Amino acid sequence: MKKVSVVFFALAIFFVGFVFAEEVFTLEQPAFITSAGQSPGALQMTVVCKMVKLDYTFEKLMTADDFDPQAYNCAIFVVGASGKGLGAAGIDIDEETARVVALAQKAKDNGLPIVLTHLEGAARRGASSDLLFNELSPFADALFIKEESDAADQMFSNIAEEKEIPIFFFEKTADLKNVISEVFGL
Amino acid sequence: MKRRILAFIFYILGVIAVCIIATVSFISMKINPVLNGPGVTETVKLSNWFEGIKNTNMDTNVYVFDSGVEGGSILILGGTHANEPAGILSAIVMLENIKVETGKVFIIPYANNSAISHNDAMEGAPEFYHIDLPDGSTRDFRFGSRRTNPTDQWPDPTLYNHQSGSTLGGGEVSNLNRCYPGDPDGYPTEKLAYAIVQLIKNEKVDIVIDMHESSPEYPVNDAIVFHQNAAELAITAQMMLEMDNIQIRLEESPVNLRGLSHREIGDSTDAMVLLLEVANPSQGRLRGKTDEDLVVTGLDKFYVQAAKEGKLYAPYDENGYPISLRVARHITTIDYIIQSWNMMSEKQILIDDIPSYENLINDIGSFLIEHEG
Repeated sequence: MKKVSVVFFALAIFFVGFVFAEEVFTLEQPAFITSAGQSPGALQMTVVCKMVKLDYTFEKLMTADDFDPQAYNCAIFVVGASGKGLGAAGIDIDEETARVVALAQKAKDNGLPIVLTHLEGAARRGASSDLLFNELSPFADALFIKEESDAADQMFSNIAEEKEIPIFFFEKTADLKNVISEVFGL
Repeated sequence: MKRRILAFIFYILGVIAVCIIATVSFISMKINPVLNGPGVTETVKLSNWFEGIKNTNMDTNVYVFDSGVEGGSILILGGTHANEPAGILSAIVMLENIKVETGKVFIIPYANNSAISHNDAMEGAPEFYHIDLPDGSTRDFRFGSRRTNPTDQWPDPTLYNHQSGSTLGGGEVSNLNRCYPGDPDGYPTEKLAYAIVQLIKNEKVDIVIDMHESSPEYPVNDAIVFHQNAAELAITAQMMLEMDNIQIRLEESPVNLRGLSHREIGDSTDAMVLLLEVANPSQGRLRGKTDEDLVVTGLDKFYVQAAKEGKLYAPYDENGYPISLRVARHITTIDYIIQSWNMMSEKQILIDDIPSYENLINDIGSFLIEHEG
């Protein structure tokens, strides 16, 4: 009986450890970063990545055709729609949505983990930004979200819950450093 | 008969008196007020860098703070639009308080000096506003116009064909922030823009900051608009501001939006260029009575209502958006931009006695020298 208890206890520890190990979400460098919506959020992301010395490549208008998934170990989409940014790029929201969805599809098909980020707070929430996020969310393996972005309607929390994917919150943009360091093991 | 002649003479004298008073008042508006501060090492005219504006109302004072210690340099522009008073007042507060320990600072409080010499009467805009000083007195400041005075530039064309190939509304040729990088043979406002660019090139200015105000219903509000070369500078400053719970939006300068400081100066010089916006209800189309009180307190009942209905892009409530807050935001943003620069560059710009955010909000008057505005 004692032996059975020990075995059962050992199995229980193993199982619990296994479950917890499954919950730890990690990513590997180099990372590919693109904008989804052409707001400056993606640039903010690159500055934070530079601060933590992450190996990354940033192409704000990368297309699926030009994307080489073999060159990267993960893809990060920074969501935020800017009328000025889209106008400067000479594209509209429909074209931008088509671009990022095709890019995410290619990344997914090639086994790259995909992270969606929203780091510009409530000021960058709106119909276009939400549209982009919702179109990309089926591809997401994790979300990096500023707390203020989620505060009003918990849209990001709900997506993470529905998809059963991890969501990493940060209060201020500079705090994103901690999330990236943790996930990439820097 | 005699009485009729006398009445006629009195009438003519009255008309002459009115004309003289109006002329004196009008000419007095064209006098560029000379300011001073403990750190100013030299006051020069902008025409030093381009003679084409010399002896015209486009010429303006440039306040130089030369530490004598080699370092970086920054140009701070207020009054590009003279009806956006927080930019002008921020420049004046800085020039009347700061001391530069390393590097060189240039401040132009009235970038479009012609635009401060008149106002938009059809908008119901006030001519002056005042700030209370600690001794109980007040200091008066002019409230100007977005555009160059028609007595300095008239008529404007029906369409303005900017040198980039863009076609703008004709009136924009009187708007300094559509005339960059300027034209030495163009309209007076284009010459002014050219003069500012010559200063930046000849003095090898590292950073240019152009201060503005905007309607609360306008999406680019409480924001830093940055040329792509200044992205890291702007983003680092934004993160620093956020750590102090000052929310500011970032907008990258669109490459196809021509004539603006953040696009053209960034493209045509080596300087990193940033434009600052802060919300001001006296700029907006939803405003009610437009008077000095609105300019100073930023409180308007129609904007309170618009905020309740979620129509604004700036946090707004019954406390308004006072000029002290608007100036505090501009000056603190400049402070953090300079700190960001110092983190990235060996060409340091070290400035003492920049008034703090809290102190400016609490008592902006204590940072103004007690003399005429």
